[in-house]
Amino acid sequence: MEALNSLLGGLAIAFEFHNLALILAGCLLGTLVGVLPGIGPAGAISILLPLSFQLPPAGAIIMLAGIYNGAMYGGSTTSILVNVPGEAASVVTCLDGYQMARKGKAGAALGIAVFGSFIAATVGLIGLQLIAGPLSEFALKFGPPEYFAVILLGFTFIIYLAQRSIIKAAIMALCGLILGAIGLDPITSQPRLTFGIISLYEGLHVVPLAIGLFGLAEILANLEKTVPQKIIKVKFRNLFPKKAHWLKARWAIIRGTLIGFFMGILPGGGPVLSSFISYGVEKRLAKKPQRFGRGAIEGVAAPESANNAAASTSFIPLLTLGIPPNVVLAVLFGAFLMHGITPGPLLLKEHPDIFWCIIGSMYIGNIILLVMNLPLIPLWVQVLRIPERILYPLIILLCVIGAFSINNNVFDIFIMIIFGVFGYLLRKFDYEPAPLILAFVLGPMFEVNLRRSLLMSQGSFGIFIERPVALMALVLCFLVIVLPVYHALTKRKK
Amino acid sequence: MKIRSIISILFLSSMLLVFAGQPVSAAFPERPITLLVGFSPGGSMDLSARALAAAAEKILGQPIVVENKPGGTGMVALAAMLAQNPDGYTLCATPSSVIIRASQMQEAPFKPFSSFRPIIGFSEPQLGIVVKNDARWKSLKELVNYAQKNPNKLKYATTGIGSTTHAAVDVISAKKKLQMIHVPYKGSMEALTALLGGHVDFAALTSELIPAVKAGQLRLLAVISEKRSPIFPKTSTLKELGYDFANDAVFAVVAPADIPTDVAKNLEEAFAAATKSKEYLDALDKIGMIPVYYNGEKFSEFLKIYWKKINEHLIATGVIKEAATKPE
Repeated sequence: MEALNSLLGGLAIAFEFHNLALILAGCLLGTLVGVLPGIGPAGAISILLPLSFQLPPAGAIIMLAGIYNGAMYGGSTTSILVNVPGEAASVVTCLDGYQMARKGKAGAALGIAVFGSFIAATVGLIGLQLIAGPLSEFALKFGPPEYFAVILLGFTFIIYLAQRSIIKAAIMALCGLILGAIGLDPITSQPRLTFGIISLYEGLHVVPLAIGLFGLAEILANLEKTVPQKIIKVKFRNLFPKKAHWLKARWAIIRGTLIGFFMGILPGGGPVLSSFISYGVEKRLAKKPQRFGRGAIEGVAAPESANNAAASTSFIPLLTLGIPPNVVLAVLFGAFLMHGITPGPLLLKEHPDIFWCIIGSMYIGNIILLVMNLPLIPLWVQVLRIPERILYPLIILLCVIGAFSINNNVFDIFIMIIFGVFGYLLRKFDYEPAPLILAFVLGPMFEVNLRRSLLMSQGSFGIFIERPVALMALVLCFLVIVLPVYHALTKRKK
Repeated sequence: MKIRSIISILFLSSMLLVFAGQPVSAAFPERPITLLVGFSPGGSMDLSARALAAAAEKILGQPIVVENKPGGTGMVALAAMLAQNPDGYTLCATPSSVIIRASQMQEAPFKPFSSFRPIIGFSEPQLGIVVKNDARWKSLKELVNYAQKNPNKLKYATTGIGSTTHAAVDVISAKKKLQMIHVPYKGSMEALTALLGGHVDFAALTSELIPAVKAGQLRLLAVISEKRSPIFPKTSTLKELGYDFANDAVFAVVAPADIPTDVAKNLEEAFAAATKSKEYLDALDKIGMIPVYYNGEKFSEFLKIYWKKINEHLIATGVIKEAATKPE
């Protein structure tokens, strides 16, 4: 009851005219940076940070939080429309989202992404409001062995990302692991596979890699076509998800939300990992898994719900412990400090008004984003009607800007182009890039947590079975690998 | 044909821009200055550089544009600055540890002493050794005694192998012949999380420890700096406790070695005045950075002294065999 009263108080502050205007501004900007690949919420928040000093602390922070939430909504747009992932958390959305768009169902895909995002973000917020304390205590229990076990579980999902040959998927995953090993050794800081290029010291960034493998490769492949393009005509009634879509997607949204909810609390990689895992779970549970990769709406609904739920719950460690679990929240953490507010266990005691105002503003922001994004869908779908000779150069421009804006470094543009050509060759030989990206994201986390665990246990592997959470995840991994084999064997007997 | 002519026009006009960048008059600065930062936005290096830039641009009368160029453990930005005209319009804000230890551990695209003309050393992070609030050790001495009696029992987190925090713990364990388990993390925030979760027994952290100590989540056993910290004046430094080590990571602004002397002097004066402004000191206080002041010459000496010290330490602890970048 007390929490409800405090929330109402927070909502009252957030509803004041100037605060409402700031939420709106934040959501608008966030949607914009989310839609544009490359420049992400972290960059946008840090650029606006000096400007925000003119505002009162609460107003500044709710605007900056609005940018983060807005970007999470916008991230899937380019994945679905043109196969260019706006950020790492939207890579999986390309797989089925783009296929839906090619079948004239771009509106349904965008719509389900927006609704899924709204539902997931709202559930995440309720969790943030009610059980933030116990949840953050749980997150702290995750040490290197627990991370190792969960990431291992993530690796088993490569099986589900494979649409055709599992062996080819495994080869791609190996490529991803090698690419992920580029850079300084995470423990000893010795350069590995850097060939004396200092821009490689911190490794490759996932965004230029993904933009190249998906976006640029798609354009190169399309250039082969000599037949004049058929403009995809979208009828107005196809602009929004229909009842059939909803029935198919509802469980995917719920499961995606739950997965994102818990993974978001864990420091490091929450939204990305949860989007891959939720996609794998949907494919595993689907009656006809072969629909995935050919425009299954669950393949859009699940990851988009998961990454938004994760974005909401990632505020939990920041607000309750003072630990930002990802880069964007680290920038936001800096913003809090610059405004003289320290996120952490004392926040609720020292600045309850600000705490509740932030929560209230995020509820309002979600509603604004839903209302703002729905009318945008028909507009986005029009993009597909642009003739190829104009659309393709625009997409290439988008890819180049996106790659450059990550680190303001021309080097990343070359990386993007190299992987664009590589991605084109992969298509020719019938390899899929998704397992590569997953292994690339997971590989470095896997390595560092394995090595830290073994440092802690002084070389004993027992550390992974002595700790309950780690053991549980390892048992799950085992089941994921063994169950399909068991099913196949029993079927054969019958 | 059309495209080719457009490209050549674009090329020629960009050449004009390059020539427009040449210094023409002595009235420095007559256009905005770019301050490169080799780390991501929102980190302590970025926030302190922005605080300094905001104060200095009022004195210089021209905007200072902070541009983040993360990569190469901070070396990409230094290399990018050296690739520009040495006219004083492109500067780089960097921790001294990039010029010192990063270049010892990896091959650097610069010469640590002769490539740069230091302008100012302006702030340093708060370094300290911390335990959880419910830990049994109330002082560094108790912790060290426990470690002596229980070899290979204590686990500690630092911000990475070869980092200043690692060096500080190594100085202690070398002097008291301690055997402890080192779990290196990437940066202070990860190490802090591991300590709060009870996965390690103590940690050596940077400024991220300040809010956690103030909130009572952590207990501060010692600070790692030349003088006592203005934030925690009651806590002893490692030096006071008998360990000869202080922080070598001072945040500085450097220019290319061959910028005109009068321009360098001009910048030095402006930045020095900026570090005294209330606006700058308030901003540093909020982000938990400690103001320090080294002029260009003092900072060059600082670099040389610590280069030697850290190099000996890295070799003694087996992190490197010899410095990857030659000290010249």
